[in-house]
Amino acid sequence: MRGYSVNARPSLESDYLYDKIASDVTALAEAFGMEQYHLIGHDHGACLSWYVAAEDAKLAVPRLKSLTALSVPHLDAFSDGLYGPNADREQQIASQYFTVFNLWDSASIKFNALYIAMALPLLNR
Amino acid sequence: MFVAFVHTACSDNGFPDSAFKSPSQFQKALWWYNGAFPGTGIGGLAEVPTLSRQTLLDEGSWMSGFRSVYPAEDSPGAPASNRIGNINAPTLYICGADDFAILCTKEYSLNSKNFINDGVDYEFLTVEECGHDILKCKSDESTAQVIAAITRLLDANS
Repeated sequence: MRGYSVNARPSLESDYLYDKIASDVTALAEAFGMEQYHLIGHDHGACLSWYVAAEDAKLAVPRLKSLTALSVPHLDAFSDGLYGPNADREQQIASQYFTVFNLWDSASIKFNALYIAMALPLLNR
Repeated sequence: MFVAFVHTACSDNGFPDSAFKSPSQFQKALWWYNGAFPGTGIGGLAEVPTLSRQTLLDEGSWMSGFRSVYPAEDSPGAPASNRIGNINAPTLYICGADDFAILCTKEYSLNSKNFINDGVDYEFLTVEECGHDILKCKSDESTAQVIAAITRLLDANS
């Protein structure tokens, strides 16, 4: 997947719009010659998987055999938990990190704090 | 059977060569967030209101420490600009009861069932002794429960 695979990290922020990332999922299935597939996503992969599944539901010939979402609710339910009259205050507090993660330079601000905390430990394993 | 597994965040994916060797490389993964929200992305996920350090302190939240590092003023957030709509595939949603990032046992999360089309199979499973990293629960029994549920879904729809 773009952003994660070492040879698939395009350089523009606009390359990471959800519809473009989602196209990687369907392209992978096509590359393996699979007309239908099961989709399993975890964390942000689950967010994307809900999106892929919702788009799949709009197709004349759906391709998903099943969806497994690990650790993240349906995006519309999640949105209702984050914002609006039925928002959940505890979830709003727990999700404050979103307000930093979605800055265009989030990995490098504050002396590379997010990179050091989240990515460097994996590099040094 | 073809299974696409999208495993993200910064979980160890078992492929050392894919590690991020610089902040600029890691930024590409974090841009997934930008791709989701209104303003920077397709708007499929609402923007949570920003809560200042003082607001978080007033509410007794440990997140006030986060705001000490990344200060911000209160701001209202924004609704999703692109509701993604219903799902029409058999769906399994599993989460850990001890997940402190996504409070998945809350009512808003349980409402996921409302976005599955009528007549389509849907199962929600909460796993005890398990946090956000649901494939590495605190107990092997809990992890086995996750794997078993996924296997059941795949078998039933293959």
